[in-house]
Amino acid sequence: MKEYRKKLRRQIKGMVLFLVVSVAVIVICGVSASKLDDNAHAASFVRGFQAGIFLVWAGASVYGIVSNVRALKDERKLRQRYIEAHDERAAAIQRESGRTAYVVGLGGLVTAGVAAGYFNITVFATLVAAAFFLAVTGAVTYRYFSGKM
Amino acid sequence: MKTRIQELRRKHKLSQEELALAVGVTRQTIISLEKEKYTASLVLAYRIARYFGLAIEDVFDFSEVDEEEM
Repeated sequence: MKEYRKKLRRQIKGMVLFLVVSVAVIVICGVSASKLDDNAHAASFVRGFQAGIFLVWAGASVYGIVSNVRALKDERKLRQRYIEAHDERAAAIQRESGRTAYVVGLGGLVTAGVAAGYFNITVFATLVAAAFFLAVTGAVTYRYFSGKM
Repeated sequence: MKTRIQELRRKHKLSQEELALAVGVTRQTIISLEKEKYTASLVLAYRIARYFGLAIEDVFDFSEVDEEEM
């Protein structure tokens, strides 16, 4: 439990840093969007999307910080959090769903890439590159974990 | 895998939550074990058996494993 306490404290530090970065990005997006002219609808949409993503991440960070601080102050909550974080069935579910999502995601990207090849070369290249990146990441992580077990 | 967890838990007048907390898993895991939807790891099987003061094979039914051809 001592190690878990340390882990939660490390997480709080990380989330505070992430919160600061997120707020900075939101401000930058807001400032740069305000400088766009009225015709730049697409760019404005992208800025709004970026700000929205970071807003969600900032909100998640605040929730995480509050949740961790509360757990650190309450032994019962801390034990509950520890159990939830280390529950072997939850870990098995994550492994299974991760494996399935990987295969479906990779298959989906390749299929979409092949379909996009008939219409737009840029979209085709982007999707194939994403599929390649996912496949390489999968191979590298498999090799890494094979060495650890 | 068939287990005697529910039977033992009732015998000891324990709730799923209490057993879960004692062996360090969530209540959902105990429910899944009792419903035979999930097979416990060796460590969890050991913890549950030790909690009831029994051997692993007295709590978990390995007859299906014995029947499996390798």
